[in-house]
Amino acid sequence: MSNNHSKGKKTVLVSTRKFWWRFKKNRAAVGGLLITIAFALMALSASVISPFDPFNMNFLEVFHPPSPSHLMGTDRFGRDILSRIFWGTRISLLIGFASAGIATLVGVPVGSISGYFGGRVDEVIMRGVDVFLVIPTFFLILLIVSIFGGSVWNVMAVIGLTSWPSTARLMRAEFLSFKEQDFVEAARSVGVGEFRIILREIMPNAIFAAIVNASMQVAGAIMTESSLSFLGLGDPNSISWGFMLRDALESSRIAPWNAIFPGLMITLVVVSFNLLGDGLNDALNPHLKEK
Amino acid sequence: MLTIGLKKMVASRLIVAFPLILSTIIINFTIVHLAPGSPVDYMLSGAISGLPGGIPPGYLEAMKAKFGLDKPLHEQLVLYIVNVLKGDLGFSFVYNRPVIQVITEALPATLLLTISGFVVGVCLGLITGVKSSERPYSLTDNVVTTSSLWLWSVPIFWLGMMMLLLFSFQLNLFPAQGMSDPGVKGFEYYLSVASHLFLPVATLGVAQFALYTRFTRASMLEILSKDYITTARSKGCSRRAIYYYHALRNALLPIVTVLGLRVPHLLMGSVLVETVFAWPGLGRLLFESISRRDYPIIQGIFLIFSIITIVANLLMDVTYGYLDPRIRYK
Repeated sequence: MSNNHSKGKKTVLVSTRKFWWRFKKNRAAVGGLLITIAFALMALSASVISPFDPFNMNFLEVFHPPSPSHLMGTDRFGRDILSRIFWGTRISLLIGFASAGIATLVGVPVGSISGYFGGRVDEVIMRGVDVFLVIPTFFLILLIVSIFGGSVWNVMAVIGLTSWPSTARLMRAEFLSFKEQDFVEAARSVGVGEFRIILREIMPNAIFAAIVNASMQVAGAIMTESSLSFLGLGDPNSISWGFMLRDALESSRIAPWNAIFPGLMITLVVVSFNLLGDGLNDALNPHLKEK
Repeated sequence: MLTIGLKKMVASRLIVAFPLILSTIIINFTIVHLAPGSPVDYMLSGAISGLPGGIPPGYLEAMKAKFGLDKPLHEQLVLYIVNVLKGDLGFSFVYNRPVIQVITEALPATLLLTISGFVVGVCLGLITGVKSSERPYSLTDNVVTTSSLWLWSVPIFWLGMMMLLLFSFQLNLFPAQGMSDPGVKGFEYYLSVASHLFLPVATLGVAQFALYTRFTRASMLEILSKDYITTARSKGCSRRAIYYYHALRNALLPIVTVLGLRVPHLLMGSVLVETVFAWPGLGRLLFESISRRDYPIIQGIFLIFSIITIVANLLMDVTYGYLDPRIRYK
């Protein structure tokens, strides 16, 4: 392994083929992956597969129960729920992926620097991170969104910027353990520079923890977004499952189908991202599973 | 009961808790100053709907003097911190009363719901967690593990809505909304509160259970592989004694830490459940304040929940130190 350094090849302790082989054996995780892909396709093709215009009100068909023409029924404005479900996938996945992306882009560099260099920098960063890990972030997000407005961009930015501390803490722990390992020592002894060690030696190994974490963060962000819209803090012009549930709250006695389907979708998306995260974790750290 | 080691630990934790509370106050201050418009506009939010006669004369001047709005920013920050620490969280024009009064009135209902839900969730989680650790990968274990994974991913407000649909609308077993029936007194009042409390607490408890059962199971499995459990087995202890006396007592330690860290999540659950069941607590207040743009209330609730979380963490730390003598002397 050590002669790789002179050629500038990166050192990776997890092999892709072995990883995929282990991942495939975990049926729940593969199921999670398939459902995730199905939802992504649904989001991309919402405009094609929706049987009706999701905004189209039809006051002749208010609160129709599920039927062959409206498979999930209609809401209080006579809008087709199935079409709204398809369109709602867009907001959920967009906010889920974007906020997890922001959290990863901020958390990974901060955590890596903190863990690798240690000392004063580490001390200061970790004090800041601790604040975010202790305070009830959901209410902070809620406060910020209520003041600055609930546009999709605001919501994803706020969720992302309040969830990077957990990514940073995780990366810090990874860097702390990797920087003591032999292959890093070896690289250092042949004179590889600090930033090269961070990027080419440690990062390719430590990044997997961030990927698992990001998958869980997508699930968390989707949950947060739907909770915010349920409380009335979403973008009123977009279609969100949480918003549909808020609408359904008043009418759930007479039109329960309004309440049932959006919640099922949130559950399914969140479960599949959690299963995916669990599966990735097991496939990347096989020794944990055996314990 | 407090030993010297434990006292020292409490003191060191208090030293950590104070700057945390201070930082949440600073976050609040920063948000007010970043908000569109001047801080006075912000404080007056909701005034239009709350005060038909408009803003009382002289109020703007009084506010400017109180928050030192013509002074430099760092002096304003100090003034703000002093005000908050004195218990002055601002004024709600929607309710036409100080924020702290409105919040303290709604707080008991929220605490009743949250603590009951917490207790139910922890008890359910401990029982099922121990049960499923007795025979890992058995049918019981698989059912518990799978259902907890699903319940963990269910939005809690939707779970509440489904409970409402099933037990209240379909089966007519429990009342759907509020905290008690109007006009009942004495013993009947408590009965009425209990029947109103049942569904919200069940929702919160079931959602919390999902998490605690996973931790209990993992923690129990780890402890059960320890040498002293083998010793207990070989000296002929009953299974009951091994699981509940030897193993669970030690497995509880990591669980206590997790309980402390989950307090924000618990509070979030309460707020959403309150919204579904129209429970007259802070969640309901928050829900109404959002639609009325009553920012001082929203901000006050964030601050109160931060303090509750920090204090709860402190209590959990002390419990941990009390349960595990090793921690005290580190």
